[in-house]
Amino acid sequence: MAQNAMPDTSLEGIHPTYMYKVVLLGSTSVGKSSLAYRYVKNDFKESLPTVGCSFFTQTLNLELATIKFEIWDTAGQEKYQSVCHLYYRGAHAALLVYDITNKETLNRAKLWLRDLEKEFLPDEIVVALVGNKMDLAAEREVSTEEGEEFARTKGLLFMETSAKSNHQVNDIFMAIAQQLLQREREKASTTSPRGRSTVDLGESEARTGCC
Amino acid sequence: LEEVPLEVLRQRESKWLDMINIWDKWMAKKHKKIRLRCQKGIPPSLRGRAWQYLSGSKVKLEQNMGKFDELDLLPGDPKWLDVIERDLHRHPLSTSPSPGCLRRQQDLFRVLKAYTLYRPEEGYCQAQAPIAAVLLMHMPAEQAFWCLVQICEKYLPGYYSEKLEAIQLDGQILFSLLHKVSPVAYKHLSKQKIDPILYMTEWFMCAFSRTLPWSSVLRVWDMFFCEGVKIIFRVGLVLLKHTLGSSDKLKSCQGQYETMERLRALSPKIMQETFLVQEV
Repeated sequence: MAQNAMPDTSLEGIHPTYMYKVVLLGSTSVGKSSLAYRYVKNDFKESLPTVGCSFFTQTLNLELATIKFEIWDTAGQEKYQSVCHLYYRGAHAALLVYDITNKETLNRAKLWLRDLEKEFLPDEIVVALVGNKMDLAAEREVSTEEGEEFARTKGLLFMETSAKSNHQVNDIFMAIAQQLLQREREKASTTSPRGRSTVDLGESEARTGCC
Repeated sequence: LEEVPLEVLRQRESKWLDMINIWDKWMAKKHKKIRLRCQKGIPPSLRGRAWQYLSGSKVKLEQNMGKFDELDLLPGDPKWLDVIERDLHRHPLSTSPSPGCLRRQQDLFRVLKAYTLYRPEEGYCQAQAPIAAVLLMHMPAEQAFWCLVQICEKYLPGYYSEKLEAIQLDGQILFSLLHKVSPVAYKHLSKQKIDPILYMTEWFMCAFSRTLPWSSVLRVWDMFFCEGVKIIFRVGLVLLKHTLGSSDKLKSCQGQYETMERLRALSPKIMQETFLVQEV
């Protein structure tokens, strides 16, 4: 079929909406819920330990697309580990959160990554390593370089944040959004040189919603 | 809020006092009547005492005189203490604590710490804190400790242990019961591939103390202490049925996420004590 006979559905032609499931993983009290709360409500409050899971949505209007994040905030205590795969099933992105003032939480984040690697192929999920509690940098136990280095060897996005003082919280979600979009573009160009429709793309990858 | 007329309340109080005075006889011979009275709601002035009788924690305490004080004096495993302490500081109230609130927080710490020493193989589970907090609003620390022991061992055995196997099993049971109670909700949750764990963990592990309005929590707990875990199942089924039980209700939650969001933000109407207790 001639290309010009097709509806104009190339990525450049329309403004698609993508929905992405993003899951927050990490030890207890590293600030997963606080990060989600800061990102979605732009506020900080002490939150009770999460039992099970809680949910947030955030819509990002970018130049090329609209992105709707479905944020799944999980319980961090080790007891819940055995059911966690149920939470991250079908996720498009994961934030592995640790507390920069607590070395042990980085080790746990590494274990989470191992779990994710068992469940997902590398190109199936965008993973970001997030060192939270930058406002407590004076009590730091994990250096920036250490987090950075680990993220680099594993090909993860990396940022140090503070949900409390609102440091780089938007940035990390934005970086995830950009990478997800980048992957959409790569897929669109590799799967069909003639430009696949975003509708197809939506069905096979992120759900494409109408807007 | 359900207002009980003062005279009725006084009558109920005197009935409960009579029961408490000869509790064993009532438990042995008139359990049905106790159940009915728990369904009507235990008078607030006697609730703490009644829960201790119903759960058997009063007997447990008498059998273990001095045990709580003994545990209270031990240092405890730093691994658990660290998590408990963090959790207490995370409580929204901890930023502006009144003296009463501070004492209650200390008591909460003591009770949870004592449990980790009483059952070192289980340690501390974060869902135990809201349970213990509700108990501490009705009784002193030692009594609350034994009541927590009864809940963890008799009412919800295995809920707070490693791997959450008991919760996963009860999730499956809840789901198969839903098939009978509300085929529409069952079908919807199956279609959306929503595992029970995703919505029932907090409900069951915290015995609805984090879900329902306070007055409903108390009424549910009155029945729970009398009849056990089946009350938790029934409340769960009522909530599911009235949230996802008709095609009309499902219109606004077509996707997995929308459904989960709906189950996290339940309609106040169905959580209201009179409605809920009547449905349960």
